[in-house]
Amino acid sequence: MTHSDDWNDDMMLLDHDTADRLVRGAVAPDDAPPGYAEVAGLLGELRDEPVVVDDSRLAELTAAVQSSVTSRSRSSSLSRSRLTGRTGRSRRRVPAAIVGGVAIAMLVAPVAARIARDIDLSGPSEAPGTVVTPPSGAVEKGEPPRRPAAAPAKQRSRAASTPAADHAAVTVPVGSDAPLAPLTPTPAPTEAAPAESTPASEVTEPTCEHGEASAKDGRPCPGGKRPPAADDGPPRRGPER
Amino acid sequence: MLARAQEGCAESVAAIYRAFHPPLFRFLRFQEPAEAEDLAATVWMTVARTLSGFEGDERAFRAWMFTIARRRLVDFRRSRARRQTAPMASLEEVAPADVRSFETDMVESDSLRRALECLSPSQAEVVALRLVCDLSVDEVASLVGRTPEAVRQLQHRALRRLAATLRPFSSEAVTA
Repeated sequence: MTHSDDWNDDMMLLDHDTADRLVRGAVAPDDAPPGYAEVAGLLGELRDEPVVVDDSRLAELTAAVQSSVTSRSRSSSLSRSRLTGRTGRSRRRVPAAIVGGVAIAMLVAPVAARIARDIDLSGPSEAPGTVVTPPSGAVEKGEPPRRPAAAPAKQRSRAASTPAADHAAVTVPVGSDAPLAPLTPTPAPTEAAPAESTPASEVTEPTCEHGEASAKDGRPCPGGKRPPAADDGPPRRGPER
Repeated sequence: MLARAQEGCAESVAAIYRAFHPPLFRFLRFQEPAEAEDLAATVWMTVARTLSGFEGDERAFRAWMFTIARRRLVDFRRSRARRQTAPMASLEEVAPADVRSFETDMVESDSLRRALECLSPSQAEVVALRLVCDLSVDEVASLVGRTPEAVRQLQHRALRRLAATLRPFSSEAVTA
């Protein structure tokens, strides 16, 4: 038990407001509650104790503030340019990259056109210089362009009723010196489409090892090496006999 | 003034230093009298380096500065606790007579301040923050990480302990 506990607790009671004023040093010793005159004097003395402000440190402080301001503005501009991805060096690189890309495109384009022309000349086609792009997403899946073939009436009617057939095919002439015609949609093959437009003898299909069975029902061979895709479109015709 | 100081205006920095150094120094002297000068210098350098990033008004600046001061104080106390202490020869053996008398005078003149040593570190901190930093109970509570009610209790106990400690001093002085 300390001697502070020996004190009469009733004398030491303080209300919040008085304690608050005491601890802020705002109570004069004469106005202090009983037993707190010394405390009030001590705290008032500590509060009003003179402090010498040494101005010799000011130059150092000001220099530190100014250097921090400078470094902060520098770092903020750097971070801003990092955010946008545009430093001074990258600003110079962007036009150079654009010019380089254009030059490469100009060099590559004629070569690519020639290659495309060669491929078109060597490849099979029933109508010279014509490639029919399938209306559905077959091209995106890397399938070769398909020629409009004269399908049996049964198949053709089924194809015409499918949603894919509602889209018009696009005919793009390539492989000739004729100027490129604007892309014109061609009507989807219907019942009225002349079957003679594509001679069946000219159609070269990959032969199926189960030839006859597949040719009879006109469907792709289920036992063949290439499984039929779900969106292959109208089935191909086998060689007519 | 604060905004201009943040832009590096020398006059505003000087005005802030002159306005806030006395309470800062008192706060540090209240708790670490021997180290107050060095600690104040450290606090001011930290303030100067980070002032440009500060956001708030003068009241917020005061609380921010004393937060820094409190952290430096905690760092100092930790490093002092880690330091190895070796037993030294007594003052009479190593110090000349004039140094001894100077030390004695200083201790005697500081007898009132010694009364503060009866306070626990938490109590001394709360009293210092309330007394010399002119912070409200809520500000002190958020600064020391306690509830306002806990801060009120701490300051109340500190006052009672101070009163109990100072009473023998005063009665001795009256008898003398």
